[in-house]
Amino acid sequence: MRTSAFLSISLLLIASLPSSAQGAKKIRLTSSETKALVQAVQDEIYDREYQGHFFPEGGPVGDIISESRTRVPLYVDPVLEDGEGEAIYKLMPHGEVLRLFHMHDDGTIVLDGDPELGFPASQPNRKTVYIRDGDVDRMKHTWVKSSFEIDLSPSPETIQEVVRRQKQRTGGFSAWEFAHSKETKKPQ
Amino acid sequence: MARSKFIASSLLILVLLSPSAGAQSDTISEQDTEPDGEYLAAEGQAKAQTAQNPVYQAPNENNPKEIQLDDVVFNETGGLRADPKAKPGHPGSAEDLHGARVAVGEVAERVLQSSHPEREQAPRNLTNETVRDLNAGNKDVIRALNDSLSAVRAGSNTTEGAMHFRTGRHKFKSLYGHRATMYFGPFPDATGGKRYLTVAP
Repeated sequence: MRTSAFLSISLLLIASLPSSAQGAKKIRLTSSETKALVQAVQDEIYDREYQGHFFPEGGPVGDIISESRTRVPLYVDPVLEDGEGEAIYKLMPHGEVLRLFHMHDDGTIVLDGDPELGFPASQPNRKTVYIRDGDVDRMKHTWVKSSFEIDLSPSPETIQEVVRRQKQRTGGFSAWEFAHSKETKKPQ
Repeated sequence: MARSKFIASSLLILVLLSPSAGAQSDTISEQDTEPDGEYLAAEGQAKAQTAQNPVYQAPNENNPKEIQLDDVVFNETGGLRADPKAKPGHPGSAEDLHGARVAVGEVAERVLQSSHPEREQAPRNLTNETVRDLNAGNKDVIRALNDSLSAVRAGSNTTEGAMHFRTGRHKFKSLYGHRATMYFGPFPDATGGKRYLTVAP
């Protein structure tokens, strides 16, 4: 009797152990956080001026909404580990990518990695062609399916807002602003 | 019998409640079983001053190979930071991070000199964001670039001819079917999270 009671208490203690003791703190992504992720993905595309790559000759990437608007699937791992999550989506012109992202304390989502690196296989942010098909399929089927929309010709006001948000996320860097400035030389 | 069960249960609880049991274990997660895939020049006070206010050390402009490798190593590892809580020389320390950069530099050089230099790794030039950070005097980026250059100039063979490396959230048991021979990290990533570097033949 005493043994079984002790075992029950032991099991309760084990179950109540903080997840950090098991290596990582895991939480589930909320719908508002998913929306913040969608905005981070869209902002990066506009900031990098990638939107034209979603509208190649022959048909758009994603599901056409109009001649200049497309909806692209976004698969998100519902579990954040130590504030870090994963998503799969088509990021043209690179192709489909597995992308890490981070949720900051203020709810801001920051995408990991620099798209200019090209998502090589050596990096955690990598093109899904470098991942086994079965694993990509499993992730797409078990993760939360969301989507983001891309406009071929965002308004100047939209771009201004995108640049502002990107600079907040990256500590002051905007690819759009950089590309439209004369700051292109590496200091010697 | 009940007494032996009690002792066994107690031992189990002690093991499970030990703070180091889970958090410090180097277990390789299920996800990672896929077969696929500052050192500063001066000593003493000068070293400390340089660490606090680093000056960008540019690669030799007459040495294109050094420039390319420097940029590859930085692009592969520039987001990694030394863990301030790591003991010197231990996993995650500044010394460990330098070792990781040396390893990446060695493998990257072998790839570039191989019969298939087109094998994809990080680009051989700096990204716009890095250029912007350099121009803005970002100390972390300058330190990482200087450390990358030092790694490239090491001219060592710590990886013993290895041809593969991969950065990830976890360690990898093997790369390209070759059992991993070296691990570095965990290092905090500049954006968040932690990263390991795995090296394999």
